[in-house]
Amino acid sequence: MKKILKFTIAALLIVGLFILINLFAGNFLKNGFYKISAPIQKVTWKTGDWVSDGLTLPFRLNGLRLESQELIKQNLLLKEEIIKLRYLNEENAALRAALGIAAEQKLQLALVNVLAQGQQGNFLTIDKGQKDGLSNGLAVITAEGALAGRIENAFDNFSQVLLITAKNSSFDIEIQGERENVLAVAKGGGGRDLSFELVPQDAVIENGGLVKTTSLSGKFPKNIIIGEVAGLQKADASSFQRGQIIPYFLKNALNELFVITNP
Amino acid sequence: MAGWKYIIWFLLLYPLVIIQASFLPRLNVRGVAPDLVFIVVFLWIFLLPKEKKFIYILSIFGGLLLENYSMLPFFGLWAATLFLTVLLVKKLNSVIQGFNILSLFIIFSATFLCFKFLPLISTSLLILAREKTLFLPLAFSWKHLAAVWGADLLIVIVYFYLYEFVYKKKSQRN
Repeated sequence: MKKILKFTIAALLIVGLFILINLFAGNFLKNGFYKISAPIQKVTWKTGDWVSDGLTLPFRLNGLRLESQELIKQNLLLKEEIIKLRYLNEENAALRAALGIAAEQKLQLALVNVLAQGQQGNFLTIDKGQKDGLSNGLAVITAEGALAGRIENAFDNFSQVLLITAKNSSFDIEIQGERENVLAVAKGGGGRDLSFELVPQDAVIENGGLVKTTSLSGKFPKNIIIGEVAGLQKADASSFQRGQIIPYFLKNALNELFVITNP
Repeated sequence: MAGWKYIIWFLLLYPLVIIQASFLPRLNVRGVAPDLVFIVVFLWIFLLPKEKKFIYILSIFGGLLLENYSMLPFFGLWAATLFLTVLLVKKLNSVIQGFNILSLFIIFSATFLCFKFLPLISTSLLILAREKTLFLPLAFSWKHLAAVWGADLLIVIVYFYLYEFVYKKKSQRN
């Protein structure tokens, strides 16, 4: 009986302590922990990358050879595209000047280092927070400009970034179509999965089509590259098309990222 | 001696959490990183159930460390979850008699599910109580969950046999 009483008192004390922490010190404690752990985590994060490269190299050799061939092909196509774009750019500049449109607004970026990955791989911890001007909802991109996610929790010195591939992530996208761009909804599937849905059956999209953000729901700034369409499904029974997206941010080493500070 | 045991294990849990959050996800094994803290706590209570006082405190400390890598809106859920996980292992240990691979498999699988789902369920209930809205933070994928379960189970089984091997050798010597 005495034992049960002791146990109940201990349990109540712990519960009370947690309630107090939740009310007054939850963020402070988390921030303090990150502050102490950040230097170690920077080293372990980079070491993990290095060890991973070494361990998986033999398995990746064949894949790298195929990827290299594919890249050479793509390079040639892109060169052709550049020539076309240069011509369009000149034409555009002339039109802009003629219409008096102001120069395109540049994005303001803050460089951040990745420190850790959360359970289930749904979010990343980065080494900057509210004191560095970051706040909840800001978009996070890779050095190549591919969308990685958005800040979900900004602490004083650190932030947690919810990845676009996270299970509860959902946002509007624009898919490059053959005739015109198509609006759709992207949904994270957890791990490395990202899919899209709600594309009307009559919309013409192909595998490899570029996927970008839209500013419809206000979650992300417009025109940030997300990835490309893969595994397109056109079921006759359904009135919508769906498919997978290959997120480009996963091709990045995810050591450094950029936060768009002027959404 | 007992005091030293606490300090050593607490100091050991900290690097384990860092490795779990900052090193293992980088190894790129399909994004699967084993739950090292959970495994340590599980193995302690499964293999050495008599040291329950130490394991209770170890589970709460481990949970507090995990708290820092969680996106759940309430602080303390992981600590409570690990603590309840320990109680569950204790209960199942008394129901499923026997110290063998089958009992390990059953008890581990049940506790793993408890460890993964309890924080989500309690978050839903707490949000329901606070905001009067039903929110299901089911931020997991079944594929990923199964992969993590496999990785965790593999480590637990290897350690179980290792422990049995060492324990047998020790008792033979005595």
